[in-house]
Amino acid sequence: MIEELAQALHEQQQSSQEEQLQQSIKNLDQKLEHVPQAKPRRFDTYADIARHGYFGVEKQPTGMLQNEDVANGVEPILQQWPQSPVQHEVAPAAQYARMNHLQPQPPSAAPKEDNPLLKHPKELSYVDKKMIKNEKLSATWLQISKHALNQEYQRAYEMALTQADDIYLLRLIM
Amino acid sequence: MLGRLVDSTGKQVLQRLNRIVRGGVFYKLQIDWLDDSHKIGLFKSLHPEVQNEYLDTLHHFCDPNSQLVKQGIKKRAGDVYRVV
Repeated sequence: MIEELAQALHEQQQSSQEEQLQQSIKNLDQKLEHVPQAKPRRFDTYADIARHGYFGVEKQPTGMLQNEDVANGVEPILQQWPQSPVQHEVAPAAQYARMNHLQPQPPSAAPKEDNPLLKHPKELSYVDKKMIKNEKLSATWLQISKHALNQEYQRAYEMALTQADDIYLLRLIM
Repeated sequence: MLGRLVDSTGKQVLQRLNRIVRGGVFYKLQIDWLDDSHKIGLFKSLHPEVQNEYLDTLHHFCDPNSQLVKQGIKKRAGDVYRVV
């Protein structure tokens, strides 16, 4: 008899604990519903683009002002900044614009899809490919000239020999 | 400048320069531009001394005793020299 009573008491305690747990889970779910969920994006900065390549980009890098940001002005972005972890990348550009008294510009007529850096390699035209190649060579030349200015000639010549065209080697020699 | 580079890099630079010069790209450039300038009439407007200097350069390109200039370039330089 005593054992049966003890068993019943134990079961009652267990069920009350389960109810409490379920209630606390419900409370947590209700709280989480109000937390803004940041969507993960693969390429958020130019550093990411440099690391992973130009292609497969879902959206323009957010380190710069987007067309709609420029059209709407920078104030709305600054007001929203502290509330969302995703938007903080836009804020430095907006802050820079405000500090330098830059006026919002109308969005450019060219659609975003025209940017060859955002296209799939199969969709690139001959001119697009040439442009991308020239941009890479220009970036390499900037690095070479930087080494040369710092009198790191060994590194500059190594880069010119291995990564750049003949004309850049000649330019370095000159 | 070579003294500031390690030997292997210096050798690579020398090799590359030699290849560029012997490739004759500068000869080709000069011949093409002189040919174009003649076709559009720019060459005639140059000072006679300048014209003479450019023609002298072309003459050196088509010198049969020159071993540095490739045969194809010599022929083209000779053609342009005669036309100009």
